[in-house]
Amino acid sequence: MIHALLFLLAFSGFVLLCAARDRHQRDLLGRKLPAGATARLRRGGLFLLLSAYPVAGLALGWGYGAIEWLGQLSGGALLTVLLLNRLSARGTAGR
Amino acid sequence: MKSGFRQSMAWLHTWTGLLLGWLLFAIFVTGTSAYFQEEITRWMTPEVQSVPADRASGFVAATEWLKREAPGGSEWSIYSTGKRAAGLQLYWVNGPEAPADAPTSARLDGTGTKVFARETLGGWFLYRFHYDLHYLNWYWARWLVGIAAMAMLIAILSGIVTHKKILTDFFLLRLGKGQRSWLDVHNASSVLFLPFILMITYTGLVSLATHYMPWGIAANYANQDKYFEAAFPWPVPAEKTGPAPLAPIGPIVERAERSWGVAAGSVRILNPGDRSAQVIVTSAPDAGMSVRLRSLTFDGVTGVPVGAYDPSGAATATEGTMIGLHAGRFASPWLRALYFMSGLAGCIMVASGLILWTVKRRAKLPDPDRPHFGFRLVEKLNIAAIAGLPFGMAVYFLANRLLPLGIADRSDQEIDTMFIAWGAVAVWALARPARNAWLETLSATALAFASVPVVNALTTDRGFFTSLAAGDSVFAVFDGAMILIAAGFGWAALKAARRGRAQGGRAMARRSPTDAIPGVEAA
Repeated sequence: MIHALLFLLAFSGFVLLCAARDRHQRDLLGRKLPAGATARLRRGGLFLLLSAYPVAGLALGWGYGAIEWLGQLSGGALLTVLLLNRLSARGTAGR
Repeated sequence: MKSGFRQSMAWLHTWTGLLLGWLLFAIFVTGTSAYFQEEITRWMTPEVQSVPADRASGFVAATEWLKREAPGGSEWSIYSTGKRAAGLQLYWVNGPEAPADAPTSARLDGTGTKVFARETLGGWFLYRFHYDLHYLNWYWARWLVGIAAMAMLIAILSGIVTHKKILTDFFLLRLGKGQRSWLDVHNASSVLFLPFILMITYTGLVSLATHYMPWGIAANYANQDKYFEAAFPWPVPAEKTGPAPLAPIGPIVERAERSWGVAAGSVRILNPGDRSAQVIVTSAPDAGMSVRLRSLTFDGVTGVPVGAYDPSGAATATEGTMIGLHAGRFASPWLRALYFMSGLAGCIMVASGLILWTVKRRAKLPDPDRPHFGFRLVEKLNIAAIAGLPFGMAVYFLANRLLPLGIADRSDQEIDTMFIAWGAVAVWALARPARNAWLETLSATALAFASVPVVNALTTDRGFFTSLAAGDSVFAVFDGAMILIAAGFGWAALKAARRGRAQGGRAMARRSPTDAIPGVEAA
């Protein structure tokens, strides 16, 4: 359960960070966001990624938690990148 | 000056990466497989039906077995195969009255019954290969592997400098766009997994540091042996003094486990059945992060603790923890899956880097239909490594099922078969035009992996569907993984076929310089 939660935190954190990027907003959201919303997304994404460490540390111990946290971050980032790749491929085909 | 520095780093990255890339690919692939070493070994010994049992009762059952089968021995060692395999590996030294060819090892299942399994080194061989190689003196092999790991470290650091836009391009992965896609795949597989890739390279170097830098030992110990005695104590049996019954093993193991708070992993008994008997209980390698294990020594007649070894010095603990991080023996199934995925990313990083070298240079060749020798060599070595080693590993699994069970040196023959298959791919790559060779070798690798579950189902009674129905997750997942790997290579072969056709078309059209590949960026 804790593993799935950590993955969810990592994945959603990276999705927010990705949505905070001007160049990816069209693929991910279909439109450009105003600067204020972008900054909030970036802060929210960073918060999710960083908050996953104390969650992992409390549940698995600080040493094991750190390893699992870093591993889950990689996994979450990978899924985000693959998702963006799919969405942008669809966007290009539709346009 | 800044661009000068970046350019020199790019040069360093390109050439350290290329020169040792093929060896690094082999190290990464076999090392990644080692995260499932126990599971591979279980698949390769289908005769062993794993019976889960708690370790303490396993040690008791194994001791009873040794009392019956090796009564006069001067030394018994019982290793639990860990929480993932639930078995026991026994080694013993026979007494002087035993015949010279009497057995000295056996494998028991979790209940203490001897199992008869085919002779194979299983997943352990692939693990061992990733730092000791094969057909090569291990001393020099470790130097080679160390040089490759050092090159890897240089390539990572210079690669970070070379990659101008790590954060800007963090999420970028554009497929189907030739050179740019290879660069994106190379970047994504290394940047997203950078914590793992840095850790695995650095801790890999640490694990053999005393091999590469013996001067620390030379300064503090009279010789290498003295150091190993201090770091890895290995008491030997004393002179026998007269018979006395062995203390019960169960309470001794329990007492050791209670005092550490972690499970015991092995029990060594010196002079069993003698007044001088000693029982040495050592903690389990998968119970903690450090690979340096604790041990407690008990009097073998009274069961009273007489000594303890606890490698808790700061330097030893740091080294042990780093090696532990590298090997991930402690990892839960989830973390193990993350380790494995990160290892695969490392394989893809090395492979895409090697391929990128040729893709970047192909566009600039004076005559792309007749490239110069260096280019052809790299191209062919890429095929030999990237398709050849996986093909060899698939053949290793097939040989495990197909070689006759009774032949002499069976485990060596399995290994030889793997290298013959790997070599055959290399020869094929040399003999054929690169474009065809990619398609053919990738297809062959896909076919070889796809045939592993088929051959398993035909030669054992533990085929995929039987395992699935029986809830045998190790066998079902192994067969499933073979299909997934086959699908991956099949997909790569399809891509190679399409590219081959596209290039054939372009060769006809290549008359004007206007259709040079656009968007070529120096990296």
